Amino acid sequence: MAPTGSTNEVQELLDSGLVHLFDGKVQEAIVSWMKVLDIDPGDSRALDYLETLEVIEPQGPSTIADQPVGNGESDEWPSPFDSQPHLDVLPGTDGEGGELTGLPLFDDEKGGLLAQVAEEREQQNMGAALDICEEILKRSPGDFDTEELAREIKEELVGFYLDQLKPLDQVPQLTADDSNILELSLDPIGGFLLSQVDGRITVEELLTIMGTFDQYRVVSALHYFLSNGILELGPATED
Amino acid sequence: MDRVIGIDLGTTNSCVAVCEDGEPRVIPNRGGYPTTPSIVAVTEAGKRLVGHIAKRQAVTNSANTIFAAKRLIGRPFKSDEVARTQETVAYQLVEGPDGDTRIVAGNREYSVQEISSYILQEMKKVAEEHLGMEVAKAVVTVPAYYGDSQRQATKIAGEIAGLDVIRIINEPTAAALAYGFERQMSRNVAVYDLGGGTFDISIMTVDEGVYEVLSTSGDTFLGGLDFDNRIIDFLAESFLGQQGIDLRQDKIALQRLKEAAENAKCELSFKSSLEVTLPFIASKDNVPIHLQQELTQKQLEDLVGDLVERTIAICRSAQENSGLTMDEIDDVILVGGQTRMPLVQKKVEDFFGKPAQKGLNPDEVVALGASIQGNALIGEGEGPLLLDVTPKTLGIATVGGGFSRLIPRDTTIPVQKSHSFTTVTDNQSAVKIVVLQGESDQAAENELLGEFLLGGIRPAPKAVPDVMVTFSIDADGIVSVAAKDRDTGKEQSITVTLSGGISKDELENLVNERLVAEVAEKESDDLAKLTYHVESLAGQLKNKLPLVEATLGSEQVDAFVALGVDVKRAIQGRDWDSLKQLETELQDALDIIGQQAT
Repeated sequence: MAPTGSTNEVQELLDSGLVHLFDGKVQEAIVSWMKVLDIDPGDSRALDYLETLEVIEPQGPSTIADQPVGNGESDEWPSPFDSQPHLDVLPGTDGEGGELTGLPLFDDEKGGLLAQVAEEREQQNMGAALDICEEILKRSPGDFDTEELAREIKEELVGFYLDQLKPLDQVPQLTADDSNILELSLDPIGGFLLSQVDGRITVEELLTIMGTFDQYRVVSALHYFLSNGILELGPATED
Repeated sequence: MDRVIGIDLGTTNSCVAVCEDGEPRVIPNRGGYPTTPSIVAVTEAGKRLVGHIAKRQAVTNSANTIFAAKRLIGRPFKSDEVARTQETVAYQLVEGPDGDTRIVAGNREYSVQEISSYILQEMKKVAEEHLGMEVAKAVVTVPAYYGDSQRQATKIAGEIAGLDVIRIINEPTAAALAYGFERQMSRNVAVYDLGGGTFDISIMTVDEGVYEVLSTSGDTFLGGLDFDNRIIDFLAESFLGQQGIDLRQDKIALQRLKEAAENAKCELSFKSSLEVTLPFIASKDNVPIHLQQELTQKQLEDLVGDLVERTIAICRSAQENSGLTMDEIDDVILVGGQTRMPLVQKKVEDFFGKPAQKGLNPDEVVALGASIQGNALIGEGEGPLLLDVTPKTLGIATVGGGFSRLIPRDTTIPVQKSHSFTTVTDNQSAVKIVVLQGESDQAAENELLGEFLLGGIRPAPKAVPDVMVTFSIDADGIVSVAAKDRDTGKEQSITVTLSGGISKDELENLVNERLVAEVAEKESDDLAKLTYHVESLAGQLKNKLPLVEATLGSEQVDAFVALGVDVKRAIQGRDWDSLKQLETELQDALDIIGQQAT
């Protein structure tokens, strides 16, 4: 419970945060709500707002071993861009495409975010660009332009990741031991993918059996496993 | 020299063997496995998958993954077997143009023979890669209860696959052949075959190279997969209780459960307990959940005990039908991977009152026997030349719905038999000849093979005309039936070519399609291999170039960098000539870099 003497202050800070946000001043809004948490770390409204803006995560700080966990259907796969904020499932959703209850996205803010996307793409920071697109989509679900943009970026990323996996007749081998794997935070698709690695199956065959899944998620997962020393690619087996 | 392969075309797994230096040997597939799943899948991209790779995506692409085609082959769409199969599979079955069964996958209809042909092609390919030569002849095994329709449909599947199926033999016969029972005098053998999808028990007598099936029985919907399902349910229920999540509702989780259940089952044949661990099988509130569950051999036995008992009840009925007492059964052979389970072995041995033969791998024994027969057929081996027999009684329908037997089952072929029939009404000018196969006295309960009309019979009182009906079965099992009015000499006949709904044109098209696909596949494989090699060389160049960049001239560096662009373009364009050229250029570039490095 918040200290009684600070109730008014908390309310003022919560309100000012919302005003800042409506003005498109996201940073100022964040500062206001963080101040609320300084007074009352358990304030549920401030926590909700900050989680919605991806400032805090329900599971604590992000590390390589603490990637966002999807539910088997969402697009929350660890991108290779770990320094970017993770876009966890918004509060009030079931994570499976249910109706979002996040804060609305205003045109000005969207315009600013799209400009950031363009900038990141220009600098070849595709992962960062995609993260921003997904942030927009979470707050403005079904936005056609952003969806198209995200699709284009994913295609480019798929090409990039596939290049890293070539030649596709290489055989992935597990390099991490079971206890290390259990420390990872994978979603069920990542778990399934890893379970198929048996020292005989080739990258191409893996991609084939994962053919019913979103290709971006599969190749980015493989890339993640390789980049983080969970898998390594061995030479192709002789026919 | 011709090589004949022996193929055990199973419901869930298939196996190929060949005799080398007189010894039958199973040929492992490309992955090193002795058996290949009898599964065919069509991916979203329209690619056809066969074997292990098809199995691995079976749950996630269930509507387009075809298994257990063996249950459907040669069966009319409107049969109990087909209806029951449809209840157990996710792929769709539809009626073919001739009342046969067709399978829908990847927006296309396939005949069952075609699907089986893909498995046979795969086995042919496995053998050819091992032997380094083309293989065109095969002995294929089928269940002892298969009728002519199923046998001929299996032969046609072979034809589509580019295999001349020189002999179809019964699976229990093949198993007994592998054990060399023909070398002993007069033995009665029980062959207990519990495979992945079906259970068969055959009681047979082996006497100086003659194999006679005395009785055969089974359950075409009982096999190792049912054992796996019990484990899946056990694991899923435990998880549901602990986590409140039903893994069976999630395709990805179910695929992993299936794989884990099969592995656990196999391991528990040799271990008393194990822990099933499936990390990241689900997630709750964005937190991954792992499945960790101990399973003991005893628990497994409790889970599947009733299934084993069902097989024993069927054994009892087969033994009674064989007319042999338990003491008269000399040997028991175990066939099928599920017979590795200690509980199964114990129950079978307890029932027959004698230890079972376990010398040969139960997954391989049928294919080994088929290869022995194949070798003998081309005069290479010492094995007996089995004589094909009619699997079911052949005859015609008679007045009142009766069935008149002309050729009893187990008759050695080729064979020809005739019998006189007459008219049942005065001045009857025609008789309808309805050709059937089966063991029932009632025509309606037997399988219709064909029918025709013999007209122009001279008017006469009933029972006077003399119509001679002659059944002939040639060495390939093709049945011909002729009817002749002995008074007028008028004659009509039909040849029963049990194609299972495939017309001659369709068969020709399928064979041509396969030939074209083979050429395309070879080209595609060659291109893929070249692409992989070029990509590998390009990768090496990319990695090594920065290390020697300073020592190379800028023009040289630019030229090497340009190679990378050319590689991408050639791969995208699937340009064989350019890739060959680039392969040489990349190798040269690596040689230059290698010299710089030294």
